[in-house]
Amino acid sequence: MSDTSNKRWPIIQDLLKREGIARQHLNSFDEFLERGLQSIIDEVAQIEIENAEYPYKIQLGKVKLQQPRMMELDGSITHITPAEARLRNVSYSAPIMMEASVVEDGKILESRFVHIGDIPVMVRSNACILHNFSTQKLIEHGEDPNDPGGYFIINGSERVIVGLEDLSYNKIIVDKEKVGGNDVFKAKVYSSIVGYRAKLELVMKNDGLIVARIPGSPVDIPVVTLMRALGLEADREVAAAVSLVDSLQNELEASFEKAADVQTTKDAIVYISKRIAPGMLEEFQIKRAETLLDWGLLPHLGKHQENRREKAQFLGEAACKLIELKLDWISPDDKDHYGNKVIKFAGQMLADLFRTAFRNLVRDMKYQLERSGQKRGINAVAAAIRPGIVSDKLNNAIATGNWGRGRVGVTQLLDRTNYLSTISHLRRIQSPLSRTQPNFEARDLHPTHFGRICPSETPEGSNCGLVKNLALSAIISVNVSPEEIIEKLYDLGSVHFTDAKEDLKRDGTRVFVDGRLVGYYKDGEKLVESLRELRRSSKIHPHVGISFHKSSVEGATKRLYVNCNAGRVLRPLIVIKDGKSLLTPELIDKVSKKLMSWNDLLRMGVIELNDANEEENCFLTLDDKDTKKYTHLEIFPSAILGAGASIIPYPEHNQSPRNTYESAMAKQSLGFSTPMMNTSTYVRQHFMWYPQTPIVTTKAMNLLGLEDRPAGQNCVVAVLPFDGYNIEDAIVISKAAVDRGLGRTFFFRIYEAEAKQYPGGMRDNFEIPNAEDNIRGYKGEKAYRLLEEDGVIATESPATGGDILIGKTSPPRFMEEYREFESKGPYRRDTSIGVRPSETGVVDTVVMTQSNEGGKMYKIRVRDMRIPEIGDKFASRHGQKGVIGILARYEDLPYTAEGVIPDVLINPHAFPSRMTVGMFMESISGKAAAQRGTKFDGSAFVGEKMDEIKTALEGSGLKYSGKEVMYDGRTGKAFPVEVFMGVVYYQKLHHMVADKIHARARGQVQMLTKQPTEGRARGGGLRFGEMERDCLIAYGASMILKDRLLDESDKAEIYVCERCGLVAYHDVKQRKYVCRVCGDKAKVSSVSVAYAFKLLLQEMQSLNVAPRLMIKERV
Amino acid sequence: MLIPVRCFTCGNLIADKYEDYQNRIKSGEEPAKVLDSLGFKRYCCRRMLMTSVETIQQIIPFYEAIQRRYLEVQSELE
Amino acid sequence: MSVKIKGAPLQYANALRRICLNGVPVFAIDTVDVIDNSSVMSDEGVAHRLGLIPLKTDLKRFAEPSKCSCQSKSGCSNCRVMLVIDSGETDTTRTIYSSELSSEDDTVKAVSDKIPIVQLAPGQKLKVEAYARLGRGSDHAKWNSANVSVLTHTDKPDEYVLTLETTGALSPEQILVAGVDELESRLQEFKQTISELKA
Repeated sequence: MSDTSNKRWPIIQDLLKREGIARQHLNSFDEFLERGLQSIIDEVAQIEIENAEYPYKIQLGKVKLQQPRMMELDGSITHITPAEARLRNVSYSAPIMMEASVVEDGKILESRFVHIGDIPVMVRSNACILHNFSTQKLIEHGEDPNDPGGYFIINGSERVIVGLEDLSYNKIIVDKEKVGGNDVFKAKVYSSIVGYRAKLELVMKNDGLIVARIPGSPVDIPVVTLMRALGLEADREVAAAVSLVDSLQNELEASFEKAADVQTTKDAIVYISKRIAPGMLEEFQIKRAETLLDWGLLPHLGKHQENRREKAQFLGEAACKLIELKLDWISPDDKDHYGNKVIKFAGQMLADLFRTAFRNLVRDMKYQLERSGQKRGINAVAAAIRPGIVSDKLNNAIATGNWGRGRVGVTQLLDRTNYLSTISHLRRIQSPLSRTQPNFEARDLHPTHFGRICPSETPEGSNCGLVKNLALSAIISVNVSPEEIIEKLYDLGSVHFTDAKEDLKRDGTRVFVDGRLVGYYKDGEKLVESLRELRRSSKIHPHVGISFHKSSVEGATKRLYVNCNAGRVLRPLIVIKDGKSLLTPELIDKVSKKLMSWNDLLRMGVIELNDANEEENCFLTLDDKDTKKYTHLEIFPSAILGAGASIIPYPEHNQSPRNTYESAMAKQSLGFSTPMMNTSTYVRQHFMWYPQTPIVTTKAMNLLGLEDRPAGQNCVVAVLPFDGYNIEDAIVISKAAVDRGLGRTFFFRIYEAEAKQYPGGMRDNFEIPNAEDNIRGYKGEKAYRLLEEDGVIATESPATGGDILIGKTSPPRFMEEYREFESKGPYRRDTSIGVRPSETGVVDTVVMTQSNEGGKMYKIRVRDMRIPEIGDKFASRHGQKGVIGILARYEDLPYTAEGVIPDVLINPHAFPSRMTVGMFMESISGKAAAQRGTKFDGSAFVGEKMDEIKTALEGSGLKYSGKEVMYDGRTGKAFPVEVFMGVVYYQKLHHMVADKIHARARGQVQMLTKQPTEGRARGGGLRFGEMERDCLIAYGASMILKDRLLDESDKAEIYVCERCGLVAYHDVKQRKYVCRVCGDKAKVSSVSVAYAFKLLLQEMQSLNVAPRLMIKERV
Repeated sequence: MLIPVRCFTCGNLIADKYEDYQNRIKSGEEPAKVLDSLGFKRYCCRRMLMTSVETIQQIIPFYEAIQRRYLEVQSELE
Repeated sequence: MSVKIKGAPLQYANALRRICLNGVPVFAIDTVDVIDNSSVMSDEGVAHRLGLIPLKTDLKRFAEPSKCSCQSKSGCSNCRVMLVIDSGETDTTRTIYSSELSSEDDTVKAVSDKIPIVQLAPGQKLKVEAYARLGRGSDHAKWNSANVSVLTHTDKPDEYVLTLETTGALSPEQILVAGVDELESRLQEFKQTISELKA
């Protein structure tokens, strides 16, 4: 199997190379700009200015986007590039221009393009200036040519809108629930149009009555009544809308009975209106009911009266499915089936936002224009637009991730730890399910995830299974216009449901496009065939999903679904026709020689894209030798993994959780994340000095460009204990190897300071704060010693914790404050920026720019070389992590006769229970690869087999077992057993001792409780916790207990009145102890207690509780 | 950055032979033979040559571009 | 180079192996004064590369700074050698090789002229003054005298094979001879200490 599927790799390679890693984001955003924006504006269409004197309308026309730009403080406009935006902390956004015309009495008077706001531009989208730039041009613009794009730049920081998983829209999903021992059947639909969705629910309890739950209606409405209200008056008509099968119609009895007294459409509307708006004027009630029917009910079918018939039909279909479920003709829909899910990306998310923002803008315009009255004409209209309404809303939402209505965390800061973590982040999918609830089924791997979602890459813990990652082979569908498809369906002979004859309706297949019944067709299976044929001959879009559903029960409804919506996860498969794979070796050859693209294959119908629903109609094989019974051939087995898991060599030999651990860890490894060294503006950035590409690679690593952006080094690893320095997952590293540059990284941190301007002409100054100038918070001369005259540190100066990098003074926060108390004139505050207390480094770069508020801004990059030390974390690619236990002396380490002294010693106990056999295989193949001079391919399922190792190793005098004779470096004696040694790729993870080491003797305390502060950044204490306390109690070490918990914490002397037991105080002026309760009769003594206890007493007093301390003299 | 000066594992000097190695690989020679002929018999040194990534090659073009821009601006000023 | 050691106990043979590995002083750049570095590589990075360049060592002419008669912190011509790189301006991207490392002492120079030190883009410069001194491998691997020093067993007892390989700073023979001397002096020192203890 392996060699033949390897041949098909070029297809996947071509696919990902051409589409890029972030295609799903870019497609979604481009579509939004192309159509979404316009459709939201078209929905409003015109603004009526209801003005007594001059009523007129503003007609909204076309939208177009201009080039991304920023407005300088002086009002001038600068066109910006993403690199500039990152550097200057501005947003990379472009102005939206909309055509607006003043219409009076149906005549267009004037029209003009007006600026309605700025929209953040996705990097590398069609609206981005980098679109279609050559590598050379990208570099000239300071942009990484390998950057996938797909994110936004807001105030200089890169933010991704991660894909959001959602239940499919406009699709009837039936489900069975148990309530109190009774079955309750439900049919749910999320009816959705651009940026708006409404849920409809049909419920059938055991009495057989079907009721509808509509948003906007506080009560359930019997479905028959609702259908009557929508225009189906006669019982026959209603029943026919459900089904013409008798046994199904019989189930409607209870529902008809319930609606017996409401027989006409008018009565039905009145019935509904009474229930949704009780106690109002009848006229008003009716109006409410009608809006509910047109807007609240199934808005995807239209919002006009003429759509009501179709809505009734849709309700009929939902009721039909519900009854079929009750009769057990069909099984409940699986919510976790990926065919019932869509993924929303930036475009859809922004549509939601833009919709509300634009409506706010329109409301604001209307209000202003109606108020201003006299002024008219296009200039008045332009003046009434406040672009900030749209710009700020979009900017803020992306910057914070707050999407309104409680949705937080929609956007995330793009992970730039290494190149892989960026890629993986851009392919991440989030589920809207709460992570606090168990949701076991939703977290499970589902068969339909195959080839769509990575089975390994998911976080551990609370988000497990809710955060997913796209598989390499996954493609996200784009919107296809359903009208074309519907037309094709009629051409093929489908009959519209109004024209269909009874027998066709009863026995034929119902044909749905995007959940909407378009008609009937006699032989559904045949129609599926011809539709797929059309798609394969590229007469219809390849992203269209065609699936056929039928039940084994006689008389059950047959349904054909055609889906055109965006956000379905597709995967490519090779079509098998007449038992033969259509992908011939010649075609593969052409693709690998770049004479053909995967798109050509798609167009030729050799491969096709299947969504999870359509895949249910397929019969798949992995083996291209036996294709007789099958419909499709799998392209490449490794492509079922996501980016994170596909860096693991031989993952199929590992215990599955190990691959999951590694997928998470790989994102923390340090390497070479971006070559944008000069413009790199990431606040924290690590950079490996001598990165290496793995000697045992996978095909995907090369494809994703990870071989040019590696994050790790190939180490010579021996499996050997070393004096206990590698027990409990520690690793021993050769000191000499570290001296020669192994694991050496640089850490960069950027410090920023901006000179702001304040109202009243005050401003921040960059300067060396002067001791004589009465500056609040002056840090002493020593802290400023490295500053040059302009108040900024020079490059290459070594700075340690507390040293000031940028001297800055600011005006007082409140002008009036303190004036009474302080005799001296206005003071300034020291707002200098210093190196973090626990860090050191050398000033690497100093950049000065202007922020978008017009102030001078400095960005200072401090670099720190991190040589591996005891406690630094390393990991292989098999979830085998560990910290350095010792940097062993070169001469003490074991050696082989050849003179190889291993870089890393890992303890043998790391293997038996974890079963990471892949690591052994990597180790031997690494060694073999070095010997034969070419890398080994360890791709999942199709990697090079162990036979290859045999030839390579034995040819060079090494053993096939991977074992070697070794000598103890300290004694010179040979070990009694041979030692397993090979080359393993190790990653340095960003958990380093230098960032964590912390100790404290005395130090800061909290203001409120006087207890030591918490955390390293605040110089906090190390918590002596409950369990530690328990130990001392058990041991009876009461003095140590007191020392830890009282003396070295918040010991305080308080004064207590012995008479009343309340807290007294010492009056310094009168030189006496005072109890405010007992006055002269008081007898005050001093007591040592925890300050927190004193606080408790006083807090209780504030709650009108009098805690009294009854104290006696200690004898 | 650049090729490490020495093999991490055995300390053998490797940097001086890297260019030669690269050129010979590019000209189509068999990697194993090239490594052998350059005198790298231990797998530790061989993996250094085979897998080191000179990341500086990806960074330098940015500075070349900056210099070009700088020169353009200079000539415009004159 | 391989030598057969006969009749010596394993402890002594292995001691010799260990001394050959890092007990014999060799030259390596230890201090780097960066005068100008506008290259992409950081000062620490350049210094690290310079440090690892093997330098030809003449053990007779130079002394270790700790044992040098000058006893000064800055060193003298007997214990320290200055090497300089000055790239000057370039208009093309070019690599600075060890050949541009000019030494004030002809005997102390890089073993190879083709070691790349840094790559400069047009307009970038590198100017450094580096100071090399003798040192021990136990301080830093750049002073390791032999890069391979392996003691293997033979079929006979008390007969071992010591294999040495170097980067060219010293020849294996020189290392072996100096190693034996070093071993002897350490044993002498040990003997001395023991005898002082007795008294």
